[in-house]
Amino acid sequence: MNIKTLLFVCSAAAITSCSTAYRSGQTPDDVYYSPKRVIEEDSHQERNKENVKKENLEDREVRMAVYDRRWRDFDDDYNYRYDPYHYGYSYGYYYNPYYCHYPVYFNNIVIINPKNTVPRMTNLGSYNNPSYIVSSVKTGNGSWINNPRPYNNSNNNSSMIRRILTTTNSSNNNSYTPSNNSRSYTPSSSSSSNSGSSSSGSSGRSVSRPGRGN
Amino acid sequence: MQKIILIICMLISVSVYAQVPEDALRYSWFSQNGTARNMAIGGAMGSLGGDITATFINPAGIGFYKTGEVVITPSFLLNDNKANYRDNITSGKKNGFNFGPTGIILGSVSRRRPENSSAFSFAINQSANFNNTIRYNALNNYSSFSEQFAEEFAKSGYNINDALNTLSPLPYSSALGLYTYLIDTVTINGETVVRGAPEYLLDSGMAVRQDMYKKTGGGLYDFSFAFAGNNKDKFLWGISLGVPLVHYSSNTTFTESDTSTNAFNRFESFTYHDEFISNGIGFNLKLGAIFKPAEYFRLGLAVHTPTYMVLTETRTSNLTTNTETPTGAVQSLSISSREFTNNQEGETHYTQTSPWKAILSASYVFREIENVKKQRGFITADIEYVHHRGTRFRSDAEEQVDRDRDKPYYKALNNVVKDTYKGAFNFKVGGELKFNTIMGRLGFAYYGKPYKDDEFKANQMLLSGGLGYRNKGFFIDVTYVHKIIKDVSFPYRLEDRANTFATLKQKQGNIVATVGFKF
Repeated sequence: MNIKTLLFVCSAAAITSCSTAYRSGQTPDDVYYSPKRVIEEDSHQERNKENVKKENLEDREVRMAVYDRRWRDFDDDYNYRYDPYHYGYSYGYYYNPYYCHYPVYFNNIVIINPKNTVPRMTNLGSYNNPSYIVSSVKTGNGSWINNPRPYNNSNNNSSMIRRILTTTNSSNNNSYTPSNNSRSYTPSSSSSSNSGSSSSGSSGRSVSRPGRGN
Repeated sequence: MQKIILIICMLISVSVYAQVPEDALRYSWFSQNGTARNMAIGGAMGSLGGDITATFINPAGIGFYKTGEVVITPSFLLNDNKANYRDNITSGKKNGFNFGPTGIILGSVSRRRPENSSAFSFAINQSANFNNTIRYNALNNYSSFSEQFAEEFAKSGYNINDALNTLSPLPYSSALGLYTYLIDTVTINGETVVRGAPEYLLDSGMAVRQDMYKKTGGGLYDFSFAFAGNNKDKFLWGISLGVPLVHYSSNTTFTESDTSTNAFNRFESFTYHDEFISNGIGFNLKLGAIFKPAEYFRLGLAVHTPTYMVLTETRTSNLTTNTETPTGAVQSLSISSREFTNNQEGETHYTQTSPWKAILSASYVFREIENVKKQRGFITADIEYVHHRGTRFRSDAEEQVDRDRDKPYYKALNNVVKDTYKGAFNFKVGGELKFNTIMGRLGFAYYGKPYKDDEFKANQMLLSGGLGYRNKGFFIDVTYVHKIIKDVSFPYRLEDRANTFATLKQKQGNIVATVGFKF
């Protein structure tokens, strides 16, 4: 909302400060035809432009060098190392006791409160269609085919019985049969109750679960 | 009988987790936002030019300008949503302000070659508006929201202590479910399995009542700089650098409750609340050309490179579960994901590359002459291809160990995006009739389905009409766009059961006004 408000204020200010050169006569429509822009320039501005063009570049360099000695460094004939006013200039930096122009590294950084950076997750397997290998009798070569994922969008769908879907290995039947195997609890890790594994490489603390009510 | 027989087994399913595939469509499947004039003609701007919207579609169109222009485009959006979930229809409304292309164009004619010109534009546009609410509810006798947690935890290979940890690997889902006993391990026929408490109800033939409420906000704000060249009004080319800023917020509340009067079926209700905010910045390039083979005719071609975005996401979830104890009493437990993310919001850093796009277009402009009184009108049409399956995600975590942890997740996610979505064609057509200073316009646009699955019906249709007035160096355009969006929404997904989804029908009214000055 703040971005929008700021944008409208800036745009309104820009529009109200505009002065149009098309108050009289026709207003061009650039979709159809765009005429050359009407630019009102007075003779004073024209004269200034001419003067700028005529200015000698060498004169400008001399004038700038008088104004600020650093412009003299651009002159190849001048060796600024012998300049008595040059002090502490090396590798692109002037000497500054408060500035170090190379990185400063600190060792033994301790992150006191690490963040959990686990991505927002979903079970990607739920997007995939079940696949089977189909083999040709003639050649014996197999090829994968996808079975469309089934959907259950009605409570009156009696043909879709509540069961866990798995595929069979039978040759001509790829129907689904009930099984609870896909939700077996078979943890591969074995951390103690005091220190769980960490998602970000550093160990967290265990969060104890309240007891079941009786 | 047949030359082939079915043998062997099921493909090993993908059992890893990552940023969700739906995030891919958020930044690619939305209708183009433009000035009131552009919206009135269906959003077609691939070959027409002469409008600041060309900065975001075909930057060569900026090349028509030899004048200067300042433009501002406010709009007001009215949302009216209907959802059909398991034969129950629910509706909701959400309105809000929006803005279209706002910026400046400067055109100039070459002094040395007066027949050539160039133009520069800087414009800001809210390309996509995420403000919306979706609500649906129904009875469900087939599956439970909690089963996705049970499935996730069973497949993860973690034990309960791993999950219940201040740096849990499953902090927003299974850890909450385990802590509040929405899911737990049980032994059935000597085998330990993970089950959701509502499953006992479903197994007995009863149904649970489900209610899903999702409120989203934010937008995709595109800052673009375009430069275009014009060679004798015959051939125009343009390039645009886009810097999109992303802000997306999502608040989801899902409630499930027992519909029976039985106080001993182990489950009464749960409420799961999930909140996340994505912020990011990106860049893209748009290249375009317009060719005029004959007077009045314009042909256009534009290519948009993929948008590379760097995103940061913060997330918090809460769960309250009411379970029924063996004595019939109700035990209520609540937990926040902050317990599992070290007492702070979880934070994820990732990059997302949105798909490339190509536009082919033609226009017929009746009377391209300077005298405004003799300009009569135009018709224009775009055909656009968007490669939705081209979205890619990648971890952008600060620590190498976290990037290595997430790498297989994002690789699997990218494969799912490739398998779930497809490239889609969009069509836009519109025209204008001009009567000196007054203009009338009509338009139509159709955005094709991005899903591969034939079961899903999804598309966007826009009907638009508008009026314009242009005089004394000033112009104003007003447009009304009626948009109908058909889409699907999954409250949850299960790998080992048939899934259920809601069909959405969203009607949007968009009132757009553009005010501009010529100089």
